Amino acid sequence: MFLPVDVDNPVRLDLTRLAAARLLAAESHPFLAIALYALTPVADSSRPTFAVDENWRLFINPQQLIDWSVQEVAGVLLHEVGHVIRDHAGRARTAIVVDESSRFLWNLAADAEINDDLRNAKVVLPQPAVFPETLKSPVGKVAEFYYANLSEHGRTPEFPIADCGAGCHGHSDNPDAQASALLPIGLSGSESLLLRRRVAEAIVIAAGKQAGTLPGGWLRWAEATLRPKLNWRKLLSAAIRSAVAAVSGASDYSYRRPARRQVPRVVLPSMQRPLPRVAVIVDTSGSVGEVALQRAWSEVHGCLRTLGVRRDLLTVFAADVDVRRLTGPPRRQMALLGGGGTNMALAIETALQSLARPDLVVVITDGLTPWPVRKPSRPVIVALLPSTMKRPATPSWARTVEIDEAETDPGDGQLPRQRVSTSRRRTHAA
Amino acid sequence: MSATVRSALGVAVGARVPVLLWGGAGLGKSSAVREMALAAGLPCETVIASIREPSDFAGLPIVSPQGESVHFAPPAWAQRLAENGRGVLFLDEISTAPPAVQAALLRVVLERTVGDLALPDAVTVVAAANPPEQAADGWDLSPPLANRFCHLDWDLDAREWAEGVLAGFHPADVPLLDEEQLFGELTAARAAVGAFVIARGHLLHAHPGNEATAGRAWPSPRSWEMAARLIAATIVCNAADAVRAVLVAGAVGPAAAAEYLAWREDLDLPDPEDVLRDPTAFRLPERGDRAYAALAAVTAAVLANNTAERWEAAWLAIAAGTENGHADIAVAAVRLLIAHRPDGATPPAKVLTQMTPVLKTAGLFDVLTRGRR
Repeated sequence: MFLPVDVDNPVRLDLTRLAAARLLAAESHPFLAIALYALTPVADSSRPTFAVDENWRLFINPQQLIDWSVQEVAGVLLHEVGHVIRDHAGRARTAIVVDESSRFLWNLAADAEINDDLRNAKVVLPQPAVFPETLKSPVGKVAEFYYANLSEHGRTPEFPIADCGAGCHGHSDNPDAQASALLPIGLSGSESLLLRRRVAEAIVIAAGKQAGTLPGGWLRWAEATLRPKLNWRKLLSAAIRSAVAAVSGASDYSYRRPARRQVPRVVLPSMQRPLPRVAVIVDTSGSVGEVALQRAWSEVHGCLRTLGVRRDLLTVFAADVDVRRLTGPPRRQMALLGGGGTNMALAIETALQSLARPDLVVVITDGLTPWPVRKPSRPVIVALLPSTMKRPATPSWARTVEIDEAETDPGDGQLPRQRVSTSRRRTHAA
Repeated sequence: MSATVRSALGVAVGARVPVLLWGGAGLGKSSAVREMALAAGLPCETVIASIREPSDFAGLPIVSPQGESVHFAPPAWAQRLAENGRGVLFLDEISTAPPAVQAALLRVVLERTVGDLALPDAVTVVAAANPPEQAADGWDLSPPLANRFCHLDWDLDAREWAEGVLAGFHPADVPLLDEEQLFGELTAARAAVGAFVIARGHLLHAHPGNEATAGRAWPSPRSWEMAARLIAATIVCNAADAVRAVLVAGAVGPAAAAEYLAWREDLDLPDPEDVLRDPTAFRLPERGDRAYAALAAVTAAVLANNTAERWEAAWLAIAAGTENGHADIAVAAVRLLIAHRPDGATPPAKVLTQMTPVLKTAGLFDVLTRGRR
């Protein structure tokens, strides 16, 4: 398994020392054991310290292995394996880390993400080590956050050059064909994908056994890996799209009118697209946060507009202590802070009884409301805003989409975000 | 990344599994399909699904001259494909097709039947679609239609595009699969997929709960069959395992695919009972994590049925590993064995001596007995 290769300067690694450090690391983090053992060590005197690449090859400066204490080597092993487990290379590409200076910043950001958790587990790291405080950032965040913070302020922290290798920033430095042919192969892309999943499963199991002792960053990573969160915008727009398609009978073929394409002796259907009337009920009570409400409203409005639901087919209701029909975009009523709650049962009833006679009801609420006891006569979609308070469960007859507090999914939100801004402009002008 | 998807497209077309490429407008999906067909010498018929009517796929009803029967006449593109005997049917903009057209496409995609005309077996269906959130007039793909495709995400790497624009893009390579060899591998792949589905019954048919994922790949008996065919094809044409992972995920969805691939990888571990029967023949896997898993499996087998004989056999297997510098990997297994020592069994001194320098350097002398109560 050990293939210490160094083309220019064949130095042997102190394998006993490496095995001892690996043992210490695996003893302190049993859920990372398989990942630690999957690393392929390679002796490389050209590296200042240790580095890792995307094939899980661990490049080790043989002298550094001897100079650090065994405890420090164990800490560095946990650190380097953290880069490949958390797929920092793949995430660097999403965050568009291209040139050398941004690679350095990304390396610092990724180091801070890992070291934060290692420090919580009381792991010894060689100094100086990067922590969130080094980057003047709050603890407990992800590399993307630290990186954005660093690039935004345009200041490079005073820190010695850190390079954890291609496994951290995704850029292999001048691969020498002759040298790389002699390297062990390491893991392939799908092998490392599977290994990551196994580590994530091990973390979730470990967290169940010894709740509270596991650094939070590991658990957050594992849960995100095993149960990727779907973008609420995608879920909400898919729910609205399919509901509109269902209630309108879709843009589909109908024999109500014959097709213009004439075939002798055959009656062909023509395309019919009835458009549904939609009622949107917005919870404007004091408990609802303005920002979240605006985001949800923009998304619902934008989605309905792209589906061709014109203004005359759309009615908007504001629901707090009473229910009012709105003509402009909804705003939270500041005066009602602490005032009466919302009664969604009344609001849905009012919307269904209104002259507009909606075919579909979309409700935007924080859920702190009573719901109709019986299933309404029309389909209902609930966009559920975040709330810290205990709230009743949304009824099972409604299609509920939970809206996240934070903007997740950095690579994904581009198009919806554009849509939000245009619809906002449009509604302000109206 | 897109090089993997490109070869996955080629393999799927070679295996004649219907493929659906997802990607935003302007990513060159359509031209990639046409160039692939051209390079492979396959005639390509492009049909834009969104501007067609159901009768274009279900056949135009023609009443016979006597008026006693109705014939469903196929359109010209289908007749051309039938005359050629092979080729690619490229259905573009499939997600913007209205639901009635999508329903009419079901038979075309799976059974290659257009109206009363059966297309030859050597015709492969390739479709392209924009994700509904990116197409203003898009519909989500209906789950039955979605389940008939292998879904590939068409993405373009900036670096790869820059290279392609200078040096020309390589069209996807359609491998020529030997029918007999494919059939042999298909039997093996079906057996593997079948064994997996028996182990994880809930993954045989798992319709996704929400609208956003129902229009993509999800596990069903049909998509597992498709996955088996794709796995067989990747083995015949010796494709990279990343290509296989993309294809299986495209057929049954990423979650089910990850479970299958992890299960498949575990099958390659040595059987612990075989190891205990003949520990001297045991070769520890090269990869450290696989070695760790193999030793853990052997230890677990001993603890499940702990006799002095089996206990000592496990030590012999570990001894084979510690010689190759795996001393620290064996620590967890050794600790468990020591804690569960049957009466009258003695551990070989050799293993402990091999471990001592590592334990000493780590400063962990008590680590082997820590598990004992």
